[in-house]
Amino acid sequence: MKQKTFLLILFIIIMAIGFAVKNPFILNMLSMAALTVIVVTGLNLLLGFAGQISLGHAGFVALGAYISSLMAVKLNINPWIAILIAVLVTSFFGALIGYPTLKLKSHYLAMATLAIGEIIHILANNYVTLTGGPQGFSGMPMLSLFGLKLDSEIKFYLFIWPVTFLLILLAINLVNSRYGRAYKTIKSKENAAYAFGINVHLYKVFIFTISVFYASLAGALYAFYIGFISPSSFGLVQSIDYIVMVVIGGMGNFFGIFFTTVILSLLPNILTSMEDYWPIVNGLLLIFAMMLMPNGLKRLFSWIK
Amino acid sequence: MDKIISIESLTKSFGGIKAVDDVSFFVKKSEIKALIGPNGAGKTTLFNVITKLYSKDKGRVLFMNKDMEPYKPHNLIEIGISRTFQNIQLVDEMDILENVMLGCHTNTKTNMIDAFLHLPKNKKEEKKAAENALEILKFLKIDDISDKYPSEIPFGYKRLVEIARALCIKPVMLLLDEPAAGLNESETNRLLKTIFRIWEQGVSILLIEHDMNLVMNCSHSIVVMDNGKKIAEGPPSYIQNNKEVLKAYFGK
Repeated sequence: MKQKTFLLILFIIIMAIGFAVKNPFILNMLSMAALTVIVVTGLNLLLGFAGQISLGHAGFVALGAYISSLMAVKLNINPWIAILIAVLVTSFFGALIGYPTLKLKSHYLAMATLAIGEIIHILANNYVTLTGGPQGFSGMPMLSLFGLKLDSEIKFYLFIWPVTFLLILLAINLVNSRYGRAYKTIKSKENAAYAFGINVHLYKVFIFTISVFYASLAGALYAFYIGFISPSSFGLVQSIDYIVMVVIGGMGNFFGIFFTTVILSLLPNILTSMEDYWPIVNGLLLIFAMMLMPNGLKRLFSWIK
Repeated sequence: MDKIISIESLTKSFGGIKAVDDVSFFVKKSEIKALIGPNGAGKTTLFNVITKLYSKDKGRVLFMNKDMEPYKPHNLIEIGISRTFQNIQLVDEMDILENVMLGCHTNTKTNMIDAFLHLPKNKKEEKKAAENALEILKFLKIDDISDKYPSEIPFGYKRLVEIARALCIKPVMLLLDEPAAGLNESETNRLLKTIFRIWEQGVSILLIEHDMNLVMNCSHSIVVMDNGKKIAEGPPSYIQNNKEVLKAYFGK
């Protein structure tokens, strides 16, 4: 089956669930899963296709969330314009950060991105006068679309999932173009990439920026949906969660990653009584996934071309 | 006399070791030139300096009378220099057609926006690249494996796919890094024929090779290196009887 056909079927199923399920709690959980899918799809482009790690992606989600919220609340800017500016500013910031750091390889790149994520996290925590610090920040206005307020779980659900699928579609398109071939080559045979005219460093900065774009967009939409943000949602734990989702989903496999992300986002909500042990469960899951299926769920979805 | 590439007093050292020591030679238009020498003679270092993967210490490399100094590794393909690798550099995740299409990367004029939105321009350019790649595979008579993955084809085919990928842009100059390494006799013969067919298209070829049979049969001229220095240069018949060369290979 073709990727896009499968994506369409998946989209119809998700939309049908939206209309069938009346429980706002479940709809809320699924909308949150959609936001995570956006971040992880972006990270998949970077990690799964171009083979470049980022341990600081939660930081970029945070930047998208904080910049858009602050602009909307403190400067009274229209939420959509605030989101747009936040995403553009964060992406630009991502490119600036990416330019020097993507000259580094493997674990050095991991260290550098880890540091960036932590710096953003510490800023959000300690710049109390601006961000509210650990107490969080709230007061964001409700998003509205063509005069229709996205004020219920179902309305946001019906808005966020089409956006998510559109972003996955764009990512699939990119991967199936000459850029996809370039990134696969950069990932495994960098010298060949040079020999065939690919400016490896510039390409890495490009994909990093796109990945940051996805992360910050998800962050900004999250902020306006929940109406409250605090640094604890954007820490190292979240950055690692995103990586776990890409790895278990099967680096580079959009659908494996889709299902892994949805399931791993829903699990903590279902197993609320085990909340304290979640990081342990998550860690064990990663270890077992690496041992038992080093390619993640890639095999499971190999029939989708 | 048309010089395609000329190497002038090239020197490259690693620490105290001169891997390439004051080497000069040139490749004429439509010439097959071989670069031979015992292991550690500095052939691969020379290749890597030409392809800009290493920086040089002294000397210069001219391509069609232009100094290659300002070029970066990814610029070489734009000026018509294409190469293969000694250790196969095919991407396992892509099928053979896609691997060859990588060679058309600089010929495809799709920007990121076209790619993201899969606009008609992207469709058209992708189709063109695929046709181009298939044409090259047909030229090398290996189009029957276009939908296979690198892990599914024999080693000899992988070498040919590498060459196919390097031909996508219709290069002026083709650099082959030990194309016969690891091939059996019939595969080597096939390679020999392939090299001639590429040469017939007007491509100048510089190859590093250990397989003397191939070198003596296909090259017009041979450069012999030992300990970083050029010790002899001339047609195969001259090299075969050169005392210096025999000393380098067999001792006294």
